[in-house]
Amino acid sequence: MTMLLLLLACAPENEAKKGDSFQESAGGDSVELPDGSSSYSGSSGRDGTLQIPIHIEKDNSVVQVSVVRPDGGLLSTEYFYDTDGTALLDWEEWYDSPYSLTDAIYVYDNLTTTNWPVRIEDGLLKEGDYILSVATVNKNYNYQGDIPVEATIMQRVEKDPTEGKLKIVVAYATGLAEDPVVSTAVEAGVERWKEIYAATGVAMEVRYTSIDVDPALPDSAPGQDGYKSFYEELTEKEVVVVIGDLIANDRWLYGEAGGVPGALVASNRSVVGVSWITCAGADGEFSSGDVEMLAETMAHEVGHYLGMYHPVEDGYEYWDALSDTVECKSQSACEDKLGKNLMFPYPICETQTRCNQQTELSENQAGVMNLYLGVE
Amino acid sequence: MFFLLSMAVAGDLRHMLSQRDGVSCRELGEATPELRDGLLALTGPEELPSSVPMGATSCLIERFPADPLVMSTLQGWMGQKERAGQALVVVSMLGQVEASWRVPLALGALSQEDPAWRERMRVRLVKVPGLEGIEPLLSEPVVAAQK
Repeated sequence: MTMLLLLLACAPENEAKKGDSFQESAGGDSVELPDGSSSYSGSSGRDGTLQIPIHIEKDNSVVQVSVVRPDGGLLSTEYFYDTDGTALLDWEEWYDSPYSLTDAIYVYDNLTTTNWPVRIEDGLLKEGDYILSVATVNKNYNYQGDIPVEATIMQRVEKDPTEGKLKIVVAYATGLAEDPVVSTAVEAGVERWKEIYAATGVAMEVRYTSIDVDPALPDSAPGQDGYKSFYEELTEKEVVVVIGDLIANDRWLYGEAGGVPGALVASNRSVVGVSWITCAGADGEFSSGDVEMLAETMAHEVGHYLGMYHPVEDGYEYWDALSDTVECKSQSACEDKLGKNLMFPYPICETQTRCNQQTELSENQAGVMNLYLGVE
Repeated sequence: MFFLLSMAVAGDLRHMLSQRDGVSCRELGEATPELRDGLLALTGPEELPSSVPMGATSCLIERFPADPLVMSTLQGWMGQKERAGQALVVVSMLGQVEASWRVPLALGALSQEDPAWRERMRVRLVKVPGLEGIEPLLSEPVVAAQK
């Protein structure tokens, strides 16, 4: 996941004082929706923050909140408070940290998605009233007050964070479903991907369809309107994997997730994009090794969408926030300790011969996947 | 000496182009002859992981869209079976190529021996501006024309 991390400046646009936000937020309206989720509409206070009330129902223990600015402006998540007011998520704790927990705290666009808990060690939620605090900011990343936002709140039971079921829809960009080279490889890759995820307790239910978008896919973030309209037609909580020729034109990608975690609501970036031609390689035909690369790419990118980071970033100075992925500090050490991990940032190949399989996941990585709201 | 320098550049570039989540072609450095030669050295179809030759091809187009050496090299590949995937990348990015090279590259892509590959190229070329003179080659599906 290679989103640009944007600095959130602390200088409020309207001189409001950070920290007084509980009293300053405007009230909002909550509505229960037929699918069991709820929506909340409100406006940020003069200080540019808004506290969104979240009532966790009896027996539920996992929540995902996606907050959108309908005006297209910028926002991010700052805090998630538990029932006694303790901050379970504090953006300042993570913002400059070498450890990555969630992209929700960064300002990207008009959508911020928080899935909680992220890790098993964060603890399951219990019945009660929680609060998610979001900040609306201007293009200079100063707080911006009196901005309407809309939130979708989804929650579910988590009986066993070591197993669950994930629904995937594989959507071929225009014309690719009819190309047997592509569809045969993708279907074989999906079967292999199912095996990789099954080892973590995640069972996959996959269906195939087409999406009317150009096979030269844009960057998954910001994505495109076609992704949003496609997602609006979905009737279940599915993760969308779009198969295209290539992704973006200024970066070369195997694939890209639209968020860490990704949203289960319609937005321009509620997708994982995968480039079939990058996996197929120079000859454009799929060898068994190319199918393995495609399978691992889909599993890796959807892994981001479910909330996982690379266990170490290239440069070896940033790591995920999991205690059981080694904190290595050099290329050789990281390749040695983590080179077989599915979320390692790059394939390790014996030049011109073969690439090693990267399919392993730690217990805590599997926990992140299973705690994603869409893994029920 | 130049060879060793190119090998060192290619080694760094290989690592950057191996990233599963990608690298910006702009992050590879200034558009110098050293970068060009380093990228060209990584375009061999035998290079692994597969993102290396594919990314090198993409970055050559983005960073050197009018370079005669780059364009003539690409043109030399376009009809080769073992380069069909790379040729499809070139076709997908043809709009970024300097205008005078678009038709020669498009014709190269349409010279792929396998009709299925020619059809893949054709449906993508239809959307590319500036292919004056070869419209008749793009108007009919290749596979249907074979029947």
